[in-house]
Amino acid sequence: MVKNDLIDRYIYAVTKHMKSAMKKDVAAELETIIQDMLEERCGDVTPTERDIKVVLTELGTPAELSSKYKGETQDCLIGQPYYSLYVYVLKIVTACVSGGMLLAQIMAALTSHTIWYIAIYNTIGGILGGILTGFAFVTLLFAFFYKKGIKVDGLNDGIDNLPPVPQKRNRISKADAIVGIIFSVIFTIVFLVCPQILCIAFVKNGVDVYEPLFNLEYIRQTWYLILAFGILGVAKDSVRLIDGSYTKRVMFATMITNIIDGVLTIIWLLNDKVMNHEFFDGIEQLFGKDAEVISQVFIHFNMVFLAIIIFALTIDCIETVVKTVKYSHQ
Amino acid sequence: MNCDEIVSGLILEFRRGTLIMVVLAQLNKPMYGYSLVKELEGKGIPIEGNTLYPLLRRLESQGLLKSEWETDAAKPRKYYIITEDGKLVYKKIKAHWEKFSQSVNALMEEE
Repeated sequence: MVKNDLIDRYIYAVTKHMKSAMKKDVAAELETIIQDMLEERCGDVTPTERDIKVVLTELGTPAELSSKYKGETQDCLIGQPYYSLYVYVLKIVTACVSGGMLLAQIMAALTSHTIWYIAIYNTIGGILGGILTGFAFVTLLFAFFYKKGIKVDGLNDGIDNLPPVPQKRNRISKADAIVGIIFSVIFTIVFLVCPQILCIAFVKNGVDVYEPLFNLEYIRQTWYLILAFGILGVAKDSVRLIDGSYTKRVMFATMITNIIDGVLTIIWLLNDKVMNHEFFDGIEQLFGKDAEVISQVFIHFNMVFLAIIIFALTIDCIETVVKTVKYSHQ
Repeated sequence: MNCDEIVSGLILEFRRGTLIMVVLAQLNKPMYGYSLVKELEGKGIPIEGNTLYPLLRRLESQGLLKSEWETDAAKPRKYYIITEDGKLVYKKIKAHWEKFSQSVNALMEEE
């Protein structure tokens, strides 16, 4: 059996968009076919890189072969090799438009003091409208490219620029990236729209009182920092979702977003005004004798919060750099 | 008029139409993809691998062929063989082909 990186890359490029059940079988079959073709061409002599290229060229471009395996017809709006790139671009556009529209709508709602249910209605409408516009634009653009056969950067239509095969350990779980995006969006919404929900509830002079943990005035004043945290989080996880492995792009995106995130977090949390001092009255009311100990914990909450965030960002940077460097050498 | 282009287009259509019948005819015994390419080539019906391998999978998904991985040999290989449904389909298209080609031959001999 001839083991060769070009063969692995070719098989990966053919099978990467197939369903997992089909992928494994086609990859195994393709491997034996290529080995048979090489044996036929070279006999007992070890095949050279050129022999491998000739055999792979004979099999056709990865996009062409993949399209035949999937039974795709060329009588369609967008066929191969444009289709794979189209799906890739569509994912990026959808992620960017959704994130951008969400934040824009939130900002619009906050500045115009719209009633909450109308704001939600506007937000959903804005996101759906944005996604549909992005979808239509990208689809029309690629349909035009396909019909006219226009060359576009990133088309995987040859065997000279095949993408590397991601190793199992090198992969970034899609679920992790999606959870990261959802977390960033929820964080942004909570802090921009309803920071008061992070509060303590107690009864004072027979009246129910809800005292927020953070100083709401300060949180409102620093809306641009919260918005920046959301955008940075969505941007970082979108790159991870799209690349799916520890690429250099993922490494640079993680480094840049985490450094900016860290600096902004320090600016945001080191301000004395960040905590609501009334919150400690609530603790006193609620816990009585034990209040002093608990208050000590919460009085430095901004510092604890800051330390946790900086620690997480640092670990994330180190892990990403180590994995990217390690796997790029393998 | 580009005569060569039209002729090559028509030949491609002929081949497309008869390829499934040819493949079903050969798979009375188990064969793997590359051996089938060679067998057909030897019988004067050259076929490109990138056309045959996806076709074998499609016929398998339609239930006309079944496959099995042979892992005991030095190289693991996927062998295909015709199913009962495949035999039935082959019998019918073969009968149709014989009748149709006879008529076409007769028609052309009239010239």
